Amino acid sequence: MSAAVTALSLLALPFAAAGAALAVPRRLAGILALAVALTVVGLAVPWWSAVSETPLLLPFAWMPELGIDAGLRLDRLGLFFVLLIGGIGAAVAQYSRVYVAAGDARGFWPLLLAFMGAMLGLALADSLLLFFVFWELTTMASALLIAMSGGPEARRGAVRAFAITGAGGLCLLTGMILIAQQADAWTFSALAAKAGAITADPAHIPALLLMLVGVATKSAQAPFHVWLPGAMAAPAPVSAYLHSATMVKAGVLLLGRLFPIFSESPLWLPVLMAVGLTTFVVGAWNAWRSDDLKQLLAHSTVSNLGMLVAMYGIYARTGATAELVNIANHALYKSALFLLVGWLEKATGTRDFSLLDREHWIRAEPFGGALIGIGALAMAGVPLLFGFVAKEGFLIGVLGTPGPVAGLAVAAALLGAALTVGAAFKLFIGTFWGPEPPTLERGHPRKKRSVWLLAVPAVLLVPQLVGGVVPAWQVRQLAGPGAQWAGGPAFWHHFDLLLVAGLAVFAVGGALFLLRTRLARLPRLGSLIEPIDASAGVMIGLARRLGDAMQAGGTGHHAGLTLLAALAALAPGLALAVGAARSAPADVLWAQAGLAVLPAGLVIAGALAAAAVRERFTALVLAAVAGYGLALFYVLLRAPDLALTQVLVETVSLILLLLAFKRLPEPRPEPLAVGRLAIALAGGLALALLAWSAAVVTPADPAGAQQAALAEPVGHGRNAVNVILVDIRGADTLGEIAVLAVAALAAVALLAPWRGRGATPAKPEVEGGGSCDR
Amino acid sequence: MRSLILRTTALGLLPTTLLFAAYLLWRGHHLPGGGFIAGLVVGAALVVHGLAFGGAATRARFSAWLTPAAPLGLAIALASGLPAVLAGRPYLTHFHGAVPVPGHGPVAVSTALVFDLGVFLVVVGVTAALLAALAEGDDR
Repeated sequence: MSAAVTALSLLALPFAAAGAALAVPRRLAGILALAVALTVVGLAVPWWSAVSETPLLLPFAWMPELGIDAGLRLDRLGLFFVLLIGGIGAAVAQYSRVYVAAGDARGFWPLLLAFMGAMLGLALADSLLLFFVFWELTTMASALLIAMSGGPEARRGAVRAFAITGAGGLCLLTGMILIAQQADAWTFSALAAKAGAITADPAHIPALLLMLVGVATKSAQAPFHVWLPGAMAAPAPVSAYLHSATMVKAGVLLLGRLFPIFSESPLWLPVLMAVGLTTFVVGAWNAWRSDDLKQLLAHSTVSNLGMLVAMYGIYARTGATAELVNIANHALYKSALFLLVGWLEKATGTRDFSLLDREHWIRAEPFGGALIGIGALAMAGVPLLFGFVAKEGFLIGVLGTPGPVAGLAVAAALLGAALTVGAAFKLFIGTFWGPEPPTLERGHPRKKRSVWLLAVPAVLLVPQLVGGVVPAWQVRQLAGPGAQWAGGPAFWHHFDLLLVAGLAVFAVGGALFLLRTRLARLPRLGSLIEPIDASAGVMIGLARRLGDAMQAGGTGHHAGLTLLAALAALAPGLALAVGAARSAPADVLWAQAGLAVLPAGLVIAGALAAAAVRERFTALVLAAVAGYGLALFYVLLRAPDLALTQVLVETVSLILLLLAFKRLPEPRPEPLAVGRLAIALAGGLALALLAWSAAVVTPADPAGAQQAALAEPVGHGRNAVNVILVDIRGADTLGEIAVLAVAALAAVALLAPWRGRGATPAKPEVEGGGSCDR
Repeated sequence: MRSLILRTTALGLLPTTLLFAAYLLWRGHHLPGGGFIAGLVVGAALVVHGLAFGGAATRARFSAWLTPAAPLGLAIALASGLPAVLAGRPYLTHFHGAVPVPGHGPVAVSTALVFDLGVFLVVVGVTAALLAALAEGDDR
């Protein structure tokens, strides 16, 4: 299979399966999702060794005139993410098949598959714009999945997530466009080739900062981290997949893509280390303070993401060969922990730590407890687990920081590590080793729980054990060529500063855990929730006020505003046209008149009569008469298609309007509104001037003549109008029929409350519905 | 308006109108006609049927055909541009060919006709949807 076919099928498969999952029953959709995830892994594995050294670029020309293409790339980082997405996706799919209740929302499997496709697109994209499109798709899929469980809490969490990551996405797009304009390159590989020139020019700084804002919002860095705990309203498998393993890592993936371009920039190391270490500490503090186990994991994820971001700052000094080690470590154990918390909730009936702290669950659930123990110890970075190797790499990197703030950085890293240890102990020891006997009847009985609820996390935790016992082998699989690891990864080097630091971290963490009840009064950190919710509320309120000003007050008010706006937009062009028309010879107009006086008279008579008559239905019919007069015009101008269309549209519209007007209440007699009369007269005058100048001024090369000449040779058709509609300007027609379909959908939806209530509803419940005919 | 004359006429008019619409669709490429016009003709036929038999009866008879018409038409129109992409040309480039019909000679067919069919279905679906929504619970 060639690289291009592999890449395209990796992209197309999840989206096609998402479409299919909409139609098939839920059980089949679950099996389909599992199959797709395993296929993704199967497609990607053969390419791992091929792209280990050099990336494989697959350019697709999109808009060659602008130099924009939709290129894809297969390289170590991208393929690793593909394997992660597919592998953890398979685990989550299997887990969801037994966890997500049958009564849950229908959109689960299609959204999950669509999300998988969007993440794969992120991993494979080389083109900046394609990357952004998939970035936004993951934002949308994530918000929809969070809101899926229903309820006001879930909706608030979804809106918050969407607002923060969406705003970050806009910053990302701006940054991407700035840097692409500066360097005249629209793909990551082309930008990397020009890295030196880009970073030498200080104009790259705003672009870099904007893109880093995008990274910070997506990967929940402080102060934007507040959306991730709110996203925990989603079910456990969604949290495991999106908010620990893949979507939040999208920011880290972007850092990996930006690293070859911007690592020389003076801003890279300081900004990333500052943001990353702050997030590391803030997240760890909040994790240690949490009383809900899922919130604990969410805050711990924030903390780990801070660590990953800080690592990318450190890589500017040491080189990015070990990037996959940290990402793999965190994704695997954190997703397993989220799945295990889902199991715990089913087994014990609660996630509340204050209840579980008192109960002794380990004898009732030994296997689940052991798995959570492994996960928690990996989080703490205990030796003999892979988490230790990753944490060691982090501490070594921070200890090597040069400069005056090195002490602060090291202190922050150690503090965060200690807090993480405290949180990990809370998760394992606190949950399972309480004094009182467990309340077994609160949870589901063991027989009703599927064995997969424990088996899947167990599989995900295996790399932790393997990597802990033989770390050198595992690191070699993941690390890039030429990776430097001082003394080789192992769990015992010798008695040095690092060992002392590690032991101190454990001591402090243990103390924090033991003192947890004493320190329970301390607050959580860094909550920007109120300002963000407030600004979202302000925007929604503004939109509502604007809508009320424009649309309430009846059709006449709304039509008047629209017409005013149209006239304002038309005014400059109209002035130009009239100026050109006045210089044309005076008798050209009358020479063309001839028979056109007849339909003109019909139109004028119909329009004036429609305006003068009081009876509604008569007015409608007279307006239609004006329309038929216009059709006669088209006949005289020798445009049969236009005439046919005009007659048919006029007839069907007349019927539709008559049916619609039947439902409206009788209009109240009211005095003449001078303002509306003025607007109507102005509109009529403007159009008349436009028609006059169009008739009198004959341009040198009329636009239609060229296209009409092309009809036969290129379009193989003698009806130029149809050829233009269908062939030459086919894309426009496609847009028009799409608009038609959407308009019909909206009309049907808006008319739904009026169904089955006869001709004139006494008190319409739709807002502003009663005043439609003023 | 449930007059016997109208009902009989409408019933007789319907198949003829549909045939006429198909004819307009077919010949649109060379003579006046085309997808929009054919769709509107079908819409007018639906109006006549509705006037004669009432909105409920018309909907009951035709909704199975007409509800998926608009999305189906959109999908067909979108799909008609895909053969061009598979052949390496820009999207929506139309291909024209000729199919030999025994006893008549070659008949010109093209993906433009498929696109026009999509347009036709969308217009039919939209008109039918609006008529159905407005004529609900109506005796006319």
